[in-house]
Amino acid sequence: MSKLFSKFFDDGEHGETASKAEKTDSNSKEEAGAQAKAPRRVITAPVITSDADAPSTDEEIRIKARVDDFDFAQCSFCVNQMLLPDYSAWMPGAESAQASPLAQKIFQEDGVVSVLIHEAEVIVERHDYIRDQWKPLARRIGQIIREHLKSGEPAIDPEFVKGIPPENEIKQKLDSVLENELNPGIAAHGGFIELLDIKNNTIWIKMGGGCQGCAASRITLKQGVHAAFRAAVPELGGIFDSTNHAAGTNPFFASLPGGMM
Amino acid sequence: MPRLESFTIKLKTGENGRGDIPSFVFNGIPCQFEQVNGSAQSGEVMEGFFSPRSFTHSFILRGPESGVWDIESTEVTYQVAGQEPYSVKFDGVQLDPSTDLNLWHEPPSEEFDV
Repeated sequence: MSKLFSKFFDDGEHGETASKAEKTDSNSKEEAGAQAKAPRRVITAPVITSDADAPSTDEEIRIKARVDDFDFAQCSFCVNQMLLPDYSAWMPGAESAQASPLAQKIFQEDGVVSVLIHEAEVIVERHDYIRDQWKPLARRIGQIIREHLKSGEPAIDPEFVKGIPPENEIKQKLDSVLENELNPGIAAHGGFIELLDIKNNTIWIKMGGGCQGCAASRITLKQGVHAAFRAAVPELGGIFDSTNHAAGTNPFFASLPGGMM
Repeated sequence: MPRLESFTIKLKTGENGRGDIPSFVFNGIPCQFEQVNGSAQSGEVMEGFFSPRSFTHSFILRGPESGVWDIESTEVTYQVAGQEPYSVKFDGVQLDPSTDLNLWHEPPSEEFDV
């Protein structure tokens, strides 16, 4: 069995992921009794996934499509072969896909507005966002990915990664955007955004406070955070939101006057 | 959030067990498992069932009243309204009187081969 460590999946401000190895509390009853009066916290255990979910080394190309639960304009295609190891490439239009023969082919499909290639995953965004309408396009994109992989041509020109700034430089720029642009603005709504992790040009963020569970968080993320980050670092690839919005304890809409939502 | 019709739970206890039957809190309401088989003592497996028939805002397993409780694994099978049942297996954790475990997991996203 392999484990999908839900590193960033917590249950609100007191939540955290823990394992037996991480916990060092004493077993003594005296200490446990003292802890009984401490504030309770809710932890989330890592989910154990089956081997069938793990990347495979099969020669047969297998692709699974999944429409985003919260953003029906996006569909991800998980491939059992690596496409772009350790990096990601975000292409907001055909003209930006010069380095990716695969993305160029996907952009030939009607309605595709962006393509993100990250390790063994391709995330495609289209104009319209009716969930049930994804299947025909998803099947065509699946076929494009499969045929491209069979051709032996790389998904991204290997030279692409040479133009990506070092990770620490990217982090410095993003920290500056957070500190000077984004967080002062959303602090008025009781929210904040945190840069959780960075791997080369891929980042994971978390929205907290009033942003966690807020109905407008997707708009904040796409129109605010994505735009500001990409303006500061054009080479930025995937921006993944690790927030567990269902566990928001103080979403902004909860504090609007007059019960407005 | 979907409406949880019922669930079954299978708790496998590791080194440190507990003598009582564990309880859970659903949407802030303390509840007891029904149809309990087995125990939460060291090395034992306990199975339980409950039918909340309610939308899930929070669903947590209470830590022990005293001492620590090593859970080797937790498997929950959710029967959600309008969907096929699905199971989620959680890895081991250690609970104590101040620590609870989240038992809720959203239904898996629809996936299809392309």
